[in-house]
Amino acid sequence: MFIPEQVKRIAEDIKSMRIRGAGRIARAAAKALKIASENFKGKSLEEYIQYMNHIANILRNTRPTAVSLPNALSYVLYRMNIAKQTNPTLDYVREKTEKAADEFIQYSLQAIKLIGEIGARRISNGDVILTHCNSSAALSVIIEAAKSGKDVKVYATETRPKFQGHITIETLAREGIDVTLIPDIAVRFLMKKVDKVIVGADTVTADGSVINKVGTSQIALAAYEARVRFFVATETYKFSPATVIGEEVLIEERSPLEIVTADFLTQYYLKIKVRNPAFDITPAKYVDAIITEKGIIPPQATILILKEYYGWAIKDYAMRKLGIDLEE
Amino acid sequence: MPMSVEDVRNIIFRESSATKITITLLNTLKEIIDREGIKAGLNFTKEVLKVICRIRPSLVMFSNVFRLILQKAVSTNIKQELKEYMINEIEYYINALKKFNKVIAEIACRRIPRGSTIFTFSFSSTILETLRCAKMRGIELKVYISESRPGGEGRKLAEEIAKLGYEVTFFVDSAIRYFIKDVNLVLLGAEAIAANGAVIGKIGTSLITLIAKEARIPVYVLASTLKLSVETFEGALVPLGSGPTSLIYDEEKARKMGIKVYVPLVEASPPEHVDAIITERGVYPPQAVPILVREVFGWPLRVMSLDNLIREVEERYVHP
Repeated sequence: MFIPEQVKRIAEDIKSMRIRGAGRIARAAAKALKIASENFKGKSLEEYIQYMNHIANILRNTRPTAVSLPNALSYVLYRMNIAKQTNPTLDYVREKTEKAADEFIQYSLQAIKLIGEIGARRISNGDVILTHCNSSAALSVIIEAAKSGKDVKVYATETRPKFQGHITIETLAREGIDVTLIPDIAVRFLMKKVDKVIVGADTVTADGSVINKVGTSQIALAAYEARVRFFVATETYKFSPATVIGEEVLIEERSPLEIVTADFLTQYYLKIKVRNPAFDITPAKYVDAIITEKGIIPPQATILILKEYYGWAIKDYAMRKLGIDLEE
Repeated sequence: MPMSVEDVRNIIFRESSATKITITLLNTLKEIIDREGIKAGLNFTKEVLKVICRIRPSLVMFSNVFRLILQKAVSTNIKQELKEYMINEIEYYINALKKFNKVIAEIACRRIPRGSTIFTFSFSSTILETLRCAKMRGIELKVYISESRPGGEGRKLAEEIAKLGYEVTFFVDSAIRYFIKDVNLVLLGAEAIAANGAVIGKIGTSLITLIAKEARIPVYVLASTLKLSVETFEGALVPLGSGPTSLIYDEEKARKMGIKVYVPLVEASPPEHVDAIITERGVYPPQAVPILVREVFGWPLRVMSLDNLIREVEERYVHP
């Protein structure tokens, strides 16, 4: 089947992590669907639907564990299918599909801004905030709070192995925010000085567990012990519809070379196993609230958002994975 | 060749194992007293204490050994020359420290069930000794170790333990909670033990004991009684040192961008997160630390400042 060059390139860039970050991946996928639609050369609606599903599958298989990607695809494809039922002509369906892709991209860009505005209201003047890794949603909250005139002080972890904390401190310093870099392991030591923890998320499951950069769960534990508020800032398209039908989130283990050198691995081959999980799971009980573009919710209400806004995606998953037409 | 002040500074800053540092310093002190006399020895000690106070104030072992030697010198009438007395005492403690490590290892070994998976971090000579002992007894184990930033001493420990023939799994400090479910015992070294049983150890100690507590995994701290911080019995807090920016970030860039960097090097774990402290005198709950202090330092405890002790020894023996 024909695949436009530009779509191939986007798929390749997601796979090789030239396009990274859950939001950017999702927008790239929606854009790829739009480009594919614009370049469709066939004549019939049947052909078009088949073609778009094929493109979506190619995109879906680039990073199988990231939830924002399939959610973006489902968003567009679901609207394509609705359009087909309303008016089964190629022109109409094509127009609606391309519009849906644009809508998603706009939505995604707006979401970070909205999260910032909503989350900033929860920050008090003089707050000391701890953050981990580099989350654009979490930073949006902190920067928006500072912009609205609140005096905030931030502790940011280094975030081994890839030091994404360096991007965080540099971003915040450029905004003129008082920021201090600390080693990952010093979080309990510092927790007494912290008022609020704000982190991002890679995936939120149906039961409200938060999958985020490895280290998040031990920060949440230390915050819980110290009775420090723990917030997760994230767009709702990181909520995982697949977990509603019982799917487990697989934790990606990345290359040991991010932690040690190739020489070290060779020298201690079979003697020292180097393991590099990219994420960990923070249980819902350690999370005070999830700050989303749709408002602040307790983690246990994740299922509500999933049912309300991603019902189509859940149905889509149930059909594709289990062959079941799920009750609404 | 005796160590310069710069050498002393380096070893106190870079070497992770308190026992190793103390043995090295005692050897140097002995050499100086032997070659240059008691006065040079006391001057060297004053310098060492100043350096410890400035860059690693939680390191109490050297001060404790020195305190015990001087206290005995001022409280009893020593028959020999002071020089001879000091050299004998220093030799006694160097041997004692080595012996303590072996005794602790023997006791600790008995608390390690066969087939366990142990988590440990940083670099502790006592833990290495314990695992050596376990290997000799044929106890099969797996060992999980994290990097231990900012120093990264976990890597050295991983290498040493791999050389013993144990299978090691190595990961970043952020992954400790992720892996804790595979573990059934946590072994930690310590820098000092406070009066209330709080364990002062490498930064990360309190996070690890908290993670273990949450997962209901026992935590044993291996430390000789010479790590008891006697000052804390008079209300002092164990001072905690921090390191320079350059340990984790580019100093120049931090200054230019107005970024602050904070690198705490040691911290205290609350006693309730530690199941037992294993010493050369046996296994003690952290809350029983006062009993140990009484046994080692006498009771009621009379803590003389080291400056005063040195002055008294000088007055009595050096300028008669």
